[in-house]
Amino acid sequence: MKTILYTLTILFVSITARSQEFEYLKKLDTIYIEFKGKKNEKKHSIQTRNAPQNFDERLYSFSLKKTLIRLNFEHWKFINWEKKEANVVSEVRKVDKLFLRKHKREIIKICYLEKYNYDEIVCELFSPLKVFYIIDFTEKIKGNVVLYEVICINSCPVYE
Amino acid sequence: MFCAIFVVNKFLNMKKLYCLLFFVFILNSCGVNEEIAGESKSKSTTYTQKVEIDEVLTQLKNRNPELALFIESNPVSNLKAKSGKTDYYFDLKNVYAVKNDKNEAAYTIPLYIISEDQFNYLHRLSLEITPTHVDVKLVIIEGKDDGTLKYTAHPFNMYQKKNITSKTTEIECYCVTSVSDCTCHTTHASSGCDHPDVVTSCNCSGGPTGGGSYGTGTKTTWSGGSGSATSYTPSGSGVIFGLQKHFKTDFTIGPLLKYTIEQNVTYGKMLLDFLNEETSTPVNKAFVVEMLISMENGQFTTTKQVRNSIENFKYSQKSPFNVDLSTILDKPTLTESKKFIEVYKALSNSPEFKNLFLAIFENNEKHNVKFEIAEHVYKDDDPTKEEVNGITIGVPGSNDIKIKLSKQIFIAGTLKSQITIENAKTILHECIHAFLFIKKNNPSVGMDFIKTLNEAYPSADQQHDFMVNKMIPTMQKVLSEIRDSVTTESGRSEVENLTMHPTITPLTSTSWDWDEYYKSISLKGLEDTNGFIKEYPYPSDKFDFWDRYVKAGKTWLDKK
Repeated sequence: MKTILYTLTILFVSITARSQEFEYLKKLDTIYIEFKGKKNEKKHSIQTRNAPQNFDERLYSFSLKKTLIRLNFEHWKFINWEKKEANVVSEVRKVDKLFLRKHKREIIKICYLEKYNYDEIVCELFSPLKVFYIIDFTEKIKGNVVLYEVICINSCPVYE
Repeated sequence: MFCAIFVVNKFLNMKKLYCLLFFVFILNSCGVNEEIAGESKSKSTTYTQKVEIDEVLTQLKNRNPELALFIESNPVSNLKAKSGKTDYYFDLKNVYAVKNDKNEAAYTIPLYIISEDQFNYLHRLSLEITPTHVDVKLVIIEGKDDGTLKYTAHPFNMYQKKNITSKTTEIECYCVTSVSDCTCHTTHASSGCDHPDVVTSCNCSGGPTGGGSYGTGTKTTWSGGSGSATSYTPSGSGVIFGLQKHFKTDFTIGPLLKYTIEQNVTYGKMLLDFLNEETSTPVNKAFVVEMLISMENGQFTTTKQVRNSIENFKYSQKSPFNVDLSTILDKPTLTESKKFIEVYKALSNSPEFKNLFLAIFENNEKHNVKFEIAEHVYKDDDPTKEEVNGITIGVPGSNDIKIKLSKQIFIAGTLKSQITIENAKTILHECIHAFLFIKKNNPSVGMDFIKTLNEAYPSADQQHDFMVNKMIPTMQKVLSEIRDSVTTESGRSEVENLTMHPTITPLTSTSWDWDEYYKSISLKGLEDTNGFIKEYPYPSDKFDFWDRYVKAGKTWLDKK
């Protein structure tokens, strides 16, 4: 009996903690997504412009195993026209372990999203008003990892 | 005023003293023109003012009591009530006078004649009252084809219907000369004014702003001279003649309607402007006639009502239904209202939009649809349910439909923000929803699009066929017709320079395809339909490609 109660309590606390974590993530202005090059995580070099831009544009694609949800993030030279007008190129920078520790709560592992549905992930978590970065762990330079500013290509379903 | 006195040498000839008065016409020597205002100006020797009818009648009763009684007994309100027995009715509340310092006055009273069969005539009763005589004339204002007004004066017999066979004076314009104090002392001799400011104003051409139309003063000593046309107060003559010119012989503006227009010049001008802009097609003329009759019946109390009626009519002519945008037009300065009108105006310029239901449903019945914008809109119009971009609901007790759009889609920086072309798509989507709703005989308030579509086209194949073969191609066509009005040139240039990737593995590339983009955004809102699911299975490259098109358009097409 005690064991059952103990297990249920742990389960309840775990679920509550995760929900609170999701609520916390929803409120963030900036979200970091971990890319480690696993089987369900792909990186592609793409060009989004007819004319060469001399810029390393890429696509990061994540597939959730259980829900089959596919999330696509692209790193363009300019993420919107306002940035293009201001000539503000999408960010690429190296970050160290200290940075990763500091922003631990804002970094999402894709597997974490397995328990959420498409609307919750795309509309609530990855809303178009936020700033996104991919932390590319496959590109380590002297112990630092590389951050790429990206936009989420997935569009939130519309109800009208 | 110059007064020169010549004195003849008394030693040779005793001559009478002559005092010659000159009117010197010096125009604007100091760069300041004093126009004759509607109100009296004590500095001028001649001036114009609105007067009470009692002033006229008091003077007239002593001189021509019969006429005074006739005028007083036949106000225009009797014409409205059809209780008069005469041919003449007087507007006793809009009497104007031109007066001078010799205690002379010329009064003008608008007059409406029952038996008038000339649609391009207006009438005034002109009364010149001086210490020595009273001169009564029927003044006819004729609207000419070239836009000018011609004034003629005729005898007036209260006991007879209008008889203009004998003209007494033909006057091209009613002119009044005003002599006022000089206004330019500082630039002239310090001893004071040596040349007065003289302005001659004439009512010669039509339109309430181009030239007033009530003429005053038939005495020849009061008229003559030249000068540019000046407006006293707008009296509607120009509007009446302008409208009649459009109607030609299709409709005659009768005396009561003439009176109504002269009392409501602003409304009348709005209708005239409408015909001038939209041309006088039979449908447009019929609408204006209907509006004039409503004006006559006192149904309009504000300019907003008239403006909204005109705008709703204009848009209805170019829409697949009779549209009511009043609640949006009532708040024209709001961001969401401006954005909506921008989009709707673009849609109304699309021939395919007007034939939307003909194209999709092969049905051109016109129903009544009212648009509203709400702060937030919820599924089934139920605030406890999820928030949506828009809904279509029936109006209880009628066959009318209401389309409620969320303000959030028109405002930048919200979770539901959409670019302009996406808003056009949303409106199109709701219009189609409205028709499905009507087709289903208005089943219930808040039946959403998916349910409505599923009911109208129960099988997946029927639905797929409807969407792929009818609905989406028609939406694509409308969007292509309005594209340039709902996207920016720089935005279009951006997307046309994009490389799109139908597949990533292997990587394939294509140029931007506008039709593909229109299709992509047209499908937004249909993700849960059988038709969409069949065409765009999830997950798939095709689904991702569709997402990319939507994203690319959203990112660039509103670029400033």
